[in-house]
Amino acid sequence: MGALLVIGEASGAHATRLTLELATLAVGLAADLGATAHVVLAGRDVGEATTEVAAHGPDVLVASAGSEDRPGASAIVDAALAAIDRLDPDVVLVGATQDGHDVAGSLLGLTERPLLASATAVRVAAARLVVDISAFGVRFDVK
Amino acid sequence: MRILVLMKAVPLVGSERLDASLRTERDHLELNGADEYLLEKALQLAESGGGEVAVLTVGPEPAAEALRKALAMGATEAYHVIDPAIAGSDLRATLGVLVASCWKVSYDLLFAGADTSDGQAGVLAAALAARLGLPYLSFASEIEPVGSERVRVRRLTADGYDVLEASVPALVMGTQLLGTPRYPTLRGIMAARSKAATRWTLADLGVDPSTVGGVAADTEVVATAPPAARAAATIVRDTPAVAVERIVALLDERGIL
Repeated sequence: MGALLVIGEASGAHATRLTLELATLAVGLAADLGATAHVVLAGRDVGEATTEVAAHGPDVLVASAGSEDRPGASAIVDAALAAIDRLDPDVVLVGATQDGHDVAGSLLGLTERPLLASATAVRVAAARLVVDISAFGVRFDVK
Repeated sequence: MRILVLMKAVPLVGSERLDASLRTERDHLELNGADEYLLEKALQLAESGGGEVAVLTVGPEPAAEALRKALAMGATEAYHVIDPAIAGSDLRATLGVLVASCWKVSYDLLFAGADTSDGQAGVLAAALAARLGLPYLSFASEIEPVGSERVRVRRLTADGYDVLEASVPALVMGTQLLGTPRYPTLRGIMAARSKAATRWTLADLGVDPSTVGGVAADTEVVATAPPAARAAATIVRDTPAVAVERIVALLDERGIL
């Protein structure tokens, strides 16, 4: 496996907590899979957020986007598509925030990559990614 | 305006079951709750500003009952995509069927609910907008046409809401804040009996059956299990100084420090 990409989110100058958690997850999965971990951040001024994310170990890509403190989902999608085009990642991780749902859906529509939604855990089993999804009181293991 | 509401027929909430192949049983279905809020808003807009409301679903035979409820609530037309090959489709295949369906129907606004009670993915609306090339307005707590050419929504955010506007046709994904869905009236129920849903198969849509269903799915359920039981939690709510003392004491009691 080559690369894992996290679609990060910034709130103001800072990376969101979920972005840092996904960055940590990606670094761990990359180590298990012999891959590299990357995070793309889009925003007007994400310098501080970049430092925060990089402290967790992944390579950070920055896309200057928008004039607002909080870039819209479409700006994040544009940055994500550019990063996907550049890295051709095997796995893309998106946080299940409001913008994250919009971004993941848009990427499904535009890239036609398989999508596993609402994962509660992601792990490596037999060199493949398996995610846990919880629905109506049942935990699904899906690959 | 003509509004097309995408509606999913889901297993009766609380009685969801899996079959032997780990697929959700779909013997008894009802309208997805989140979608009913969009139907209600569409009906209100049609009643106040004129226009028509149509509904569309993709699902097996029991989904017809859910469509009848939508017609009884006031929808004027219903479209039912039904084909045995669709069973077991993953998100990507379902998206392909929805795209093909939407190409066959005219609309000014396309409405979709925020998520479903069975899958809970909440991504197909954005995917559909991307594939159809429509402006996408999500997490709407209010929807308001601006003349006949534009639509304005309040989009919920973590710290309030944004006001977004787009030209039509557009896809709006809405929330439960749009208003409580109405109950069908007896008159509506009677009227719905004379309204038949238009049925389409994959062949009618021009969708290759080999691209949908469990055979074509890129994702696979490999196991199911009940959620792990949670251990009892001790929540420390105090001033920082006191909280630190209590947490240190708790860790010390457990031999961690």
